[in-house]
Amino acid sequence: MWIYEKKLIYPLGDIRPNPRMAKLIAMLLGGANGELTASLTYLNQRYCMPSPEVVAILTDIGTEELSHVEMLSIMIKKMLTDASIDELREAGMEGWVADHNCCPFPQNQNGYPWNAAYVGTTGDPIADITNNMAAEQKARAGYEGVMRFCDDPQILGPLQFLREREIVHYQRFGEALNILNDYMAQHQIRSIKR
Amino acid sequence: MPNEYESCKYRSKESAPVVSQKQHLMQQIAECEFICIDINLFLDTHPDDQHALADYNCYAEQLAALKELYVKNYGPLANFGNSVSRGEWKWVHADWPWQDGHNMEEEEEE
Repeated sequence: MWIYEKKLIYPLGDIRPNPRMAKLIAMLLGGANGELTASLTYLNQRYCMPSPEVVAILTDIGTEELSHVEMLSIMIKKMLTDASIDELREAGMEGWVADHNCCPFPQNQNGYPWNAAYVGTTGDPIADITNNMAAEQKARAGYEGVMRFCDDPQILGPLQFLREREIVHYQRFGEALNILNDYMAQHQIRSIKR
Repeated sequence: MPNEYESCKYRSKESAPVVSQKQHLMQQIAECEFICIDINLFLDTHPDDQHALADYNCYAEQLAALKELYVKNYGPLANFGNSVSRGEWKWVHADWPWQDGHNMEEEEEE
């Protein structure tokens, strides 16, 4: 089960209204390679994962991703709050605010709603962990893409932190793949039981 | 303390007649934690209810003691520094809640 801790994984400073950046950061939260996809993918993969070490890393990274969802959600909320009508219109965020006020919502930078088809679960252990390594790299590239357009150091700091976490997760999944290969060889698991 | 949860406790004991010490302790944790969850929700909408608050604090302390006992004997219950793992990293043991070996291994209590 899960227990909530009343704190952020990384402190957010004074985040000013910035609907232009809110639009881009939506992609990191509710886009195909966003934090919501990552969390649900890893947590969902656990149940068919044979190696307990790999279940542990899926549980822990999947849980950490939820704390990233929370950070990005708060950032979007603060970047939309107190933005002027003109700023919102200029950023193409008037539809968002009309529909959700300043609340975060899982959709990408173009307003395409989050889709369960993003969740990469095949139930094949090797395919799943390999998917996750690619997912972390795609997420890292996504952070870099958004950071190119970032002009506010109060937003850049948290994005740098989150980008670095993608790299750490990629490294851990790489190690998990080695553990999994050894486990499957030892237990003579070639594929899913039919 | 009046216990409105006794009927719930009775039913759960009935359904699991033969259990290891580890399973028994986990059952106690589950019962105590469920009480805490339920009072917590009640307190969220009744924050000034001193009776509920006293119950909550009492069960929260019991829960902490039960979890401490479990963690000491069987390994971490929570990640990210919320449980210690003495001797070895027991977080990776094959006793995830959906696995057959869940809480089955009998280990010596200290």
